[in-house]
Amino acid sequence: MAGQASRFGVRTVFVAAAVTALAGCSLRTMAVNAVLPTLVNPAVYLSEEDPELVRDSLPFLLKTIESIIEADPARQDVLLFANTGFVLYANAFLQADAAIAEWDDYDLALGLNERARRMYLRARDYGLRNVEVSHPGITARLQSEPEAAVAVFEPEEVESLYYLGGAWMLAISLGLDRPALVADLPAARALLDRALELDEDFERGALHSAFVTLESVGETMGGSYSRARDHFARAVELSDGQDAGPYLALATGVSVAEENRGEFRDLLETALGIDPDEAPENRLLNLIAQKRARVLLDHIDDLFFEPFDELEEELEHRP
Amino acid sequence: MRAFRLAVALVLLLSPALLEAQRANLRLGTILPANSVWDRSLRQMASAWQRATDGRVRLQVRGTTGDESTIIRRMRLNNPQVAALTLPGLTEIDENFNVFGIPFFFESDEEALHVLEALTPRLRESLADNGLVLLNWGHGGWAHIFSAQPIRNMSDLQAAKLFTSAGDDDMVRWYRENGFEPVPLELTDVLMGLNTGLIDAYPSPPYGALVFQWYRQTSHMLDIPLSPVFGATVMTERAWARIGEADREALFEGAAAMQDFLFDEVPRQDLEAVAEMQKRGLTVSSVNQAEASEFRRVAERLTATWRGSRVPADIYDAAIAARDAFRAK
Repeated sequence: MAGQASRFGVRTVFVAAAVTALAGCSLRTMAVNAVLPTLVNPAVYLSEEDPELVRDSLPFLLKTIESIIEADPARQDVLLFANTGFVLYANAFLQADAAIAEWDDYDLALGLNERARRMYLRARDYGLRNVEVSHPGITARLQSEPEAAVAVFEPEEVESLYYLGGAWMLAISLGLDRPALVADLPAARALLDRALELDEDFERGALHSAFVTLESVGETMGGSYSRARDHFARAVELSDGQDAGPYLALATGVSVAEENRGEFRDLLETALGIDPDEAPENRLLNLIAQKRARVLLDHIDDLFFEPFDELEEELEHRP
Repeated sequence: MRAFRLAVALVLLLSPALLEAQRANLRLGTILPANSVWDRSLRQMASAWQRATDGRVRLQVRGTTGDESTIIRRMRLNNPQVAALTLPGLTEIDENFNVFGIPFFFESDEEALHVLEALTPRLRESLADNGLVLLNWGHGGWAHIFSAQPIRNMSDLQAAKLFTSAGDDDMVRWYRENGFEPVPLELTDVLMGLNTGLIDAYPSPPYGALVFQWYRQTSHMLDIPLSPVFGATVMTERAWARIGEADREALFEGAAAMQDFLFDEVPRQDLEAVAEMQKRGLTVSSVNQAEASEFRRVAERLTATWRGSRVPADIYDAAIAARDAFRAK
């Protein structure tokens, strides 16, 4: 009897503990479900007027999101937010800081870019987990037959394609010394090509803006400055000229390569002339782009060589 | 006393000018891509220079999508003052560098490095004759033959539509005279040439075939190294003259560290590139020792005409002597 009571007691305690745990779990899930729509709202960050506030607060949110993913690994909205958030942090803060640091301190710039590369890869991995939920096995197919693999994606998945392809492409661009990463270039490209095919006016020209950079890689790698200019024109049109991104992309990608100093200056001055409050949904990215535009204009003499005729004249007059 | 004051005043007046003479803000031009192993090594060298000279020598590494001919022309006007050049750029400066482009001339990295070191005094002179100071050698990997159809012997290679650089008419003529089918193209047109079938074979280091995605149209790689793609970092003598004696030593040290890094890293990068391409369908055509020897024997017979034509006879002979000495060890 004593044994029975004991066994009963143990069972009761076990069952009670299990119920409590389940209830706790359920409560936590309910709580998470209630706050998630607020938490995973990128607009709150993208419309921020103080970039430093985002720099300081985004890491905490991203770690919170990662703990939610650990509890609920197949939740696509959270996976997509993790993809988006890590790309945003790496691009707007780490890589942007590196671009500024490299004028004075290569070691610092190399360190920041290395952090950015690793964070893009983390973003890519969340993006792949996101698309794997709807398309099991897609990661392997993207790596083996990328152009065919992307055919499964539908128009409602363009946001996922944009952030996944973007994270992957950015990681590759910072890791050209890593063949294992470079080998996936066709996969990243195919994702962005498919996104453009499905919804070319996505996010008021965000895809065209990305393609300005993609087409600026030079003809040896299949790029084209002419196509970059076409994408630039469409990006400006779709954003009503309120996005500084395409101006910077064309200036740094094409004007520098074509040694067109006048165009470079005009594009950056146009970017600086954009009022960030005119398009609140793009305020953060415009402010960050404008900061970079100022630094680039400060270093314009380092980016462009003097025209040959000026150099030759200088040489002639040298004692 | 007045004389002393005058002397002090003169020193004070002259000091900035003297300091200026020791300071150098240099720019480096290169066609090598940003964030590649070469770009990274150049930036590391720039940091090392700045640290070792307490900021007296600063180097801005600026990649360009332009061509090396333009960089070389600009260097004659001392801007940029420094350049990281690849083999085609170096051969434009002096034909002695063609010695490293002789097909199937070297058997290994060690052998090629031995010959490079043996020829360095001569090549340094060649650069000095063109107003340039050699800072270090670079390594772009080993060119291999990639092809749409497997290539196992010289006849297979002669039957392929082989990419060759546009503008090098002598090379095109040599190919034709020796039974090859060269197709001269700009580097920017290789991808188009492969996609349209204009060419079906090309020489490239494995990393190049991967990063340019050329290997996706050519699923075979011949596992005999064709030639090493050496490069060099050079500075104009005019800029070099403005650098203090002690700082020059520091610059050479930083440049030597970069060379060591590249000679370790680039071959490793090529091995990794081959492994990645194999995962994605590349077939590496291995040949046995006898087949490789036969390849080299035929190549040596065909390229004997390079002596005194593409490659000055004395440097050709010096390369053979250094290579044979290495093989005799």
